Amino acid sequence: MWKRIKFYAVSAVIIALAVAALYYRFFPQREAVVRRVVDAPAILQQVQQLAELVTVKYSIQKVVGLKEEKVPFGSESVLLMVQATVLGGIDLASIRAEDISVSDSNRVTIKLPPPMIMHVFINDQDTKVWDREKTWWTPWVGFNPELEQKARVDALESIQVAAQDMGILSNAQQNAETTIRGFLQTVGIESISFEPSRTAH
Amino acid sequence: MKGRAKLVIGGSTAALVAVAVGATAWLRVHEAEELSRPSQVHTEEGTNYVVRVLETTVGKTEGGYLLLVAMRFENPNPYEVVIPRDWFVVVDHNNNRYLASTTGTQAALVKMPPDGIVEKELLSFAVRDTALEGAVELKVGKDRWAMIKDDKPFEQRLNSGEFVSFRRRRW
Repeated sequence: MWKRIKFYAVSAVIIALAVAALYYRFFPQREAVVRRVVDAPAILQQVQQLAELVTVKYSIQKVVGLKEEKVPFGSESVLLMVQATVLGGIDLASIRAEDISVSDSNRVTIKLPPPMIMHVFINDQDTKVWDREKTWWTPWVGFNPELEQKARVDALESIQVAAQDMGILSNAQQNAETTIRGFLQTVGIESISFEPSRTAH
Repeated sequence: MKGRAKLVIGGSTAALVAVAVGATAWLRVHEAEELSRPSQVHTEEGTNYVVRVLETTVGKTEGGYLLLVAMRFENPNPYEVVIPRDWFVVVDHNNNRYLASTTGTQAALVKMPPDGIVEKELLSFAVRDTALEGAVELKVGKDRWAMIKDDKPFEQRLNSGEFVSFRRRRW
């Protein structure tokens, strides 16, 4: 009696295992496929969250001299050693819905705003006045208290141009593309390309 | 007689030197006034404002020159007047046009308060090496131009980062 029960039990287990094996062989469990719907407004919102994206920082040291001619006679000059920082990047807040397109194959194309110099500022601690003088034969001409400030403003403009000559804008563009690509890949968008800026700066 | 002649010659020489110095001073002041002559101009929409060039500064950069123009704006209107900075255009003798910088230290808009004055606004232009070989003009308003440099070439040798400021058109 026990032998028969054992036989049926073992047979039932073997049959159950065989059926299960056949089921999983011919009807494999389908993986849950999550199809991400890539739409432009969602991408726009995510990209705009990055707002003013500063992607590159240049530290520039420059000697700047300013000579101011006085009216009617004489001149005054100042020589400054200036240390400044230039930040370049892209203002993503200005990106518009029409700048983002999504193809049928979920390929995202983004037209970025032009890269720009976002901030230029002088590091006051490392900026020194080297020399300051005026023409000796115009003793009636007083020192201009604003001359150093004027030289600083000139230095900022000069440093901004120097940073552009050094390629800060193209550098900012490349870094912005890398950052945005990385950011969008973390939210599941794999295929991203960039088009040239709307306007050259 | 000999002493008197000496006195006359000395006096005449001193008078001549004084006249020459006075004339040069008068010329310099006149040149400064000429540069700063006010122009009444208007926006594209027709709003009037008064603009004066106060001073020009030229500096050397690696790729050319940096031109800084200090300007004074006066708004006679009872409302704020806002003009885009890149509306100011520098034109050189070869008809090359340069827009004012609008990045970094330069805000994109120049704002004039109602019935108010902007004492000093700086416009910055990066121009080519050849731009200063002749006259340079600045567009200050619709169809209004101010000459900021005369047609004589700028021959002063500047090193990179060296600036000189002028209150006249002759550099």
